[in-house]
Amino acid sequence: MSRYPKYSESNEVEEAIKRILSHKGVVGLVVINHEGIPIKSTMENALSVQYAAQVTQLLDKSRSMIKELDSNNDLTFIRLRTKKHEVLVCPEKDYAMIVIQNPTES
Amino acid sequence: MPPKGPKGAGGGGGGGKRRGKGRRDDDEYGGYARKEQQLSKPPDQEKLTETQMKQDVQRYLVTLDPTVVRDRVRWDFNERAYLIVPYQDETITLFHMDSKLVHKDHAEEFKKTYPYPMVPRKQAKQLDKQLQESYKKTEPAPAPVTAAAPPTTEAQASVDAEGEGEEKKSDAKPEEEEEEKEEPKEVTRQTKFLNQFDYSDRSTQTYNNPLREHVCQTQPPPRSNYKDYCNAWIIYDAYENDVENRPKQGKQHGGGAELGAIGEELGEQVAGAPAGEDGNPQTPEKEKEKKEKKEAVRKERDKEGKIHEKERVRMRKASVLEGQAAQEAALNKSAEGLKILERLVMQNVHHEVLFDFKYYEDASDEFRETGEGTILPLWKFAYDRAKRLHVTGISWSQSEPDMFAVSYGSFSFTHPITDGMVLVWSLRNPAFPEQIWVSPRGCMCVAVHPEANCLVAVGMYDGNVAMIQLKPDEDNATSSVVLKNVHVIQKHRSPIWSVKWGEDDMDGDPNFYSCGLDGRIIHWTIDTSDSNGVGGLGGTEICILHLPVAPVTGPDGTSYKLFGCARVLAFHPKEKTTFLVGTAEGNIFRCSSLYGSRFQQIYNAHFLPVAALEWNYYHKDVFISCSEDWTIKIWDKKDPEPMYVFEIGVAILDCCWAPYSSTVFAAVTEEGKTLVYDLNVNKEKPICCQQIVTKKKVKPHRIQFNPYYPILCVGDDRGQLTTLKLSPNLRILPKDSRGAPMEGDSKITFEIGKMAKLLSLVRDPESITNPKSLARPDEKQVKIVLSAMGKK
Repeated sequence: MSRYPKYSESNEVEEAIKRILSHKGVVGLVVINHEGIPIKSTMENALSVQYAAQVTQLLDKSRSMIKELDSNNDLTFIRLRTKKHEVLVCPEKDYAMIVIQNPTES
Repeated sequence: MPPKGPKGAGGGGGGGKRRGKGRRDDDEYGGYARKEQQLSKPPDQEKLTETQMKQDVQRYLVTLDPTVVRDRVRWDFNERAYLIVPYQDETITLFHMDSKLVHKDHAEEFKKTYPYPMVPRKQAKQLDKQLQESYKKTEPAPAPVTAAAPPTTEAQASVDAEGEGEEKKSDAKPEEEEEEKEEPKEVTRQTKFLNQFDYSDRSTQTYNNPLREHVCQTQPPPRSNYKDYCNAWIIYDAYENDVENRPKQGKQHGGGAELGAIGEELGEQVAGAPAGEDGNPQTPEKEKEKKEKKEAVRKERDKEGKIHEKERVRMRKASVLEGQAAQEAALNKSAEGLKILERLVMQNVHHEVLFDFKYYEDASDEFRETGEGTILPLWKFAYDRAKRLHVTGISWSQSEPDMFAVSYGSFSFTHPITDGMVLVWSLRNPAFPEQIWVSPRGCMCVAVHPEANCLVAVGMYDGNVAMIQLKPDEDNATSSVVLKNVHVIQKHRSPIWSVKWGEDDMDGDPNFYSCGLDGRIIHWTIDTSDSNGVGGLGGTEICILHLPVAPVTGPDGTSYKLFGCARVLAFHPKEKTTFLVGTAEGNIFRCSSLYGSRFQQIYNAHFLPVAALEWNYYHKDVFISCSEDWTIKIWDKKDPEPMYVFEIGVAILDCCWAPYSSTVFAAVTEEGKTLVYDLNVNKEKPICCQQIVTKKKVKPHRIQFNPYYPILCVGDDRGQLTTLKLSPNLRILPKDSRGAPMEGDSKITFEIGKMAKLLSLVRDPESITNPKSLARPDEKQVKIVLSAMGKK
């Protein structure tokens, strides 16, 4: 029985991040940990920190809102469409991921 | 002054008293021992006559206090004279109650004084009731009532107001009541008048919940006391030390070192301070000594301090690195979140396509008279590592409408590409497959289990099969469990062309069938008993396709039967044991999995290999076959001749029925065109013929309908998959009398009816196609075919 090559985990994550960044309209990506500190970012530091701070607050507020309305429910992701671009936030247990994208306009 | 009672009472009273006292005095035991005692009279006792003794003597109690001084004087400073203190009555009123009761003996006297007539109580109540009623009736004309009112009220009032000390109040009350009643116009009272007998006060109190105090206290943060001096010279010294240290440390630790140095200083001070802050006052000498000591210690510590600083910086670096490592570890778990995020991004990038997919309906279809339609290309799925591979099989999942598995391998057997893979895609993310499974040998076919969509069966180029279980991405487990066939004997010895899932067997285990170029159809189940201890797939051969020709003599004289090289496998959707096998010789065998040696029927279908074979979803007797000999044929299983034949003129590489209609099917040609036919609309021409891929450069190999959405998926030989949306004309759904689309059983029967009608048309003498134009293949032809295949 021959072995089938498996992708290493970190490699996969890196690849995935690269892929996301390569899509049309993606401005930047920030990964923040549970404290709200950006651990990985493709934008400049000051902006990342700003995004991280604001998004953490938003996550806490929306999560508490959903839990209050129904304690069995939980937040999956947030899409914030603004005039200039769209902010996609995907929270997980230990971290949250933020992607800023310019949605393509027909 | 001795207290003296009234004179008249003194003697008799005294005598009486004495008598009583005498009795008691003689009682030694305080009343318990009651012995008859003789009365002893004192000698100077007054002697009374009988009549005098029987006389009642009255005794009175008076509140006059004889001991009270009445002419008390007091010095008044204002008047500067002695003033008599006014006598104050030394009585205390403990209880006072106004009474309405009059002693019956005095009633007569009271009546005289009392101005109003008195009536017994019961009568008074009756009178009151009468009054009430009279009020209710005669509201607008209260005047005559008023005349009657006072006497009755008086009567009532009088009864109520009987009492000695009650005079004032009783007078007031009836007067009030009278006044009230004299003004009935102003006050319309229908309620009873409030008085002490009829009025009652009722009150309730809600149940007050007991208050409870609930206190929660967190653990206070740990505290430490810190004491220090701060003087001008301490600050100066600290700065001096810092300036000394700075150029030695270098730029990197410059900022940190400053803080570090000062921190060290303060640390020292902390150590030194408690000693100096002892409560005892210290002499200046001692203080000086201490200072010197401190300085010496500090100097030593300076050196130590530098070392400490370095270490501290190093520690800080290490902790930062640790933090980073932890962060990276956390990052690695973010694969799932990234997946979701990627889908979100994809949604944005392809949002037009998404809208088309969901909502776009080609409006021009209404204006096409011939009922033609169009197909709109949606997404393109391509994986960069699969670019040079051919799409060999597409299988949509039946339970997840957006999931499909694609096998990549190679169809060119002269230049075989040895490796292959199976990718599971989702419509939500056209950029990257959901699951990747790489195999060292090319994969030829793939099938997703109709119910448990985590099971995928793969057939490979070398004759092996594998069953993959796709695991959800928990804990970053991207690897999937793979079961491979283990036996060497019971396996295909040539490429497997088709795998199809069968029904779960009695144990509930999934099982599937595969057919290969060696002409065998093998049934695979999970074989838990294995020599290695690892479970594999065990296969049992169901049947071998023997060609219906005479045995051929081999080179060494032994004659052996020719067997067909199976190309396609198609299981009946309802009768799970019946299946069709299409061979490379162009035959179609209808077999049953219950008995393997004999076939139910053999159809001499095509000249060239059968490329695709599929049963109709609705009509149980109808199936379609297409071949590289430029024809698509629709068969009724009972008839050895096909019902409909479509001559396309180009090799057909794949065809399939539509899941929503019994008369719609699609096919891909070698040129890159996709054809969609609807037999209900047009029996000769396709209602859609569209070029999907670049002509002559790219060959589409596979086509499949999505079971839920009106989508086709076409896979080509560049490793690309194109999804296409069908326009409304291509997917005309039957409508019932109300105009709503049919569903369920009625739809099934309708579809079956449609097909049956079409079949009956064909069976008429005036048939559209000429099925008898096909010649039956004979031995020669078989050999030609075999040799042609050999050349390939």
